[in-house]
Amino acid sequence: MSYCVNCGVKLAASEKRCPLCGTVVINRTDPWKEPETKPYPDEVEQIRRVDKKYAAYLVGLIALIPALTCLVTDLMISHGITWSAYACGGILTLYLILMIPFVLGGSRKYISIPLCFVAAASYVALVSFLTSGMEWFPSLGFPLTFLVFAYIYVIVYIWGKKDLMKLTRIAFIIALAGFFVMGIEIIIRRYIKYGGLTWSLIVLIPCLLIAAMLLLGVKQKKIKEEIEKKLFF
Amino acid sequence: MAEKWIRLDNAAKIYPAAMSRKWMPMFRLSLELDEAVDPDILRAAASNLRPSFPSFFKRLRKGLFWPYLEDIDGEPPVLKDVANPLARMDLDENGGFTFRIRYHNNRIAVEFFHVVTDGYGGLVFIKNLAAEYLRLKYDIEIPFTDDIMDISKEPDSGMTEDSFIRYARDYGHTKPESLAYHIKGTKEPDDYLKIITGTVPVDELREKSRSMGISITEFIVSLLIMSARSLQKKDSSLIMRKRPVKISVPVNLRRFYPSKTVRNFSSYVNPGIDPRYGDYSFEETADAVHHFMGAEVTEKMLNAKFSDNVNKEKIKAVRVLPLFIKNAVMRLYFRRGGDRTTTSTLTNLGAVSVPSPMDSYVRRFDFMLGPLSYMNVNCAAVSYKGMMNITFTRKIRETEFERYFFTELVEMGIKVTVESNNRY
Repeated sequence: MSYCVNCGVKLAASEKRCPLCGTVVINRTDPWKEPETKPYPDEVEQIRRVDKKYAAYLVGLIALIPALTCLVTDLMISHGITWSAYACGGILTLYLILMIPFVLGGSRKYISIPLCFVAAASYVALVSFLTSGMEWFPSLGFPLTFLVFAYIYVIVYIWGKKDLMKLTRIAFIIALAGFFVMGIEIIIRRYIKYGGLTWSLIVLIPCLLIAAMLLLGVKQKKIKEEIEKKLFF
Repeated sequence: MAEKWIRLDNAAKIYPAAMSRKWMPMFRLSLELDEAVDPDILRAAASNLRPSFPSFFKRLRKGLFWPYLEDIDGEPPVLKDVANPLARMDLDENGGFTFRIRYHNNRIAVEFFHVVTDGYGGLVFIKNLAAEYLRLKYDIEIPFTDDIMDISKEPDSGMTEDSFIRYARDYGHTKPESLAYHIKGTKEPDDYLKIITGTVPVDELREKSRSMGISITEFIVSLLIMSARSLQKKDSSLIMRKRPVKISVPVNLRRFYPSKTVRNFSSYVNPGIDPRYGDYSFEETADAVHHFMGAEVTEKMLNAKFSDNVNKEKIKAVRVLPLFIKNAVMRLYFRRGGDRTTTSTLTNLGAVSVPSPMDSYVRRFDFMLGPLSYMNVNCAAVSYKGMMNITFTRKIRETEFERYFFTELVEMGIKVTVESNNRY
């Protein structure tokens, strides 16, 4: 039997490394051998999880019910696809937006957000095509959808920066919310070709102020020190 | 004649409500024989326990107002052991049983869902299982002492009673508990339970704790608090750094009452320190733990705590609420309080003894806790033949907590041998 050089504990014959610190046992006089009996077997009990693929198929089948109902009703009444295109497209988009992050899982969120954007943008394009033959899609529909998903992407990114303090992350997200609203107004103004920024500034300024307050709160100690330095008597 | 169905005891009522698809409160007791276990004999031994342990051979059912335990046919599951014990039990797959028996080389282990019994009841069960196994295998006579029962006879009703109800008084009181510091870490995939067992000579532990004027349990608790404190000082969250470090210590209530029940009959105390009061040295921590335990682990204080729960259960307005509403309320209560009020758990079963000639066949006992919903690392201890096995079970990859604990023991001059369920 060997001792861990790092922790000083004696290691049972089954331990190749110290279970406390991971240091590999190097004992020239008694090198580690796989013992005949180990304290625990190698077989792992698999914990049953929700089979994501199966769940996605199941939800898909359930979503088909309202979609097909709309389609059939539309075909029967108007002898063609009219309003049911909106319903079916909406159901499909919702299905994709829910299922893509679910199937890909949290670790692949930076892939699932762009995929969800493609799904949402396609639906907006469909609506645009059905209403006005793509008239407003390039200048309004697409940029707005892009902006929404870009903002979601940034929120997820900032929130994942665990090395920043929670308050700092919240401050950045609030500040960006102001710019997000400003972006919406810019896109709309460009589309209607009318005037400069107005209402979005009312949102932006408080957002920036709140963010600044939060950031100041984080650095409170520094401010305190500064004040003490200047005002001591 | 044993009852066909029984109500859940007062402590067990929270468990069906608190459990989820991924988690249920479980613990495991195991013992090691001097030769490889024969699974067929083990199966026969397990079945033979049915008449003397009627409360174990039951399935969990839902009534309109309360869950209950109902008689179950069939043999209890006897399975091969696995690398990751105490994975959540699927009660249907388990044949309805609320426990499962496992074997590996020389070891017999039983994993219990807490709804059926507590640590002491589980110990009585596994001792009798081993005794019956040895009787069947070697045809030896084992005297009926040290919790070994005559399993040909039906037990007296005291063994299956709800002792909480029996000993509760009219006045109950539970002190509010503040939230405690929690050990953080990288979660093991699929909630794989990692185990580190340290074997320590009881004499050396006793000598050390006596020199400080405290008991072995108090000594271990104090050292666990110091281990958690070492992590807390490095925690990135200001809130976490200021929270108290508390260890939940289950207390066997049979110490205070002449109860022989093998169902749940334990309470708990949460000794700890508050870092806002300053940095505690080990001696100061030990002192705080010792006096806290002295004041709290008394018949009156513990009675007030469980009487409060019993009295709540007796309120008519509560009793008439349908089960799903009760469960929702209890779940909320559990999520808000539950194990969020403590940093870790130490459950010490103390010194286990088995009668002669059984003792010449049994080499070792082990005790471990299943994962708890909020606490990432827990600790259970049991001693037998002068050696104490202190088992840490964790849901996270990091081992700093355990490392601090065991290296401190080594620095105090106490010999520690460690083993784990790591795979190489």
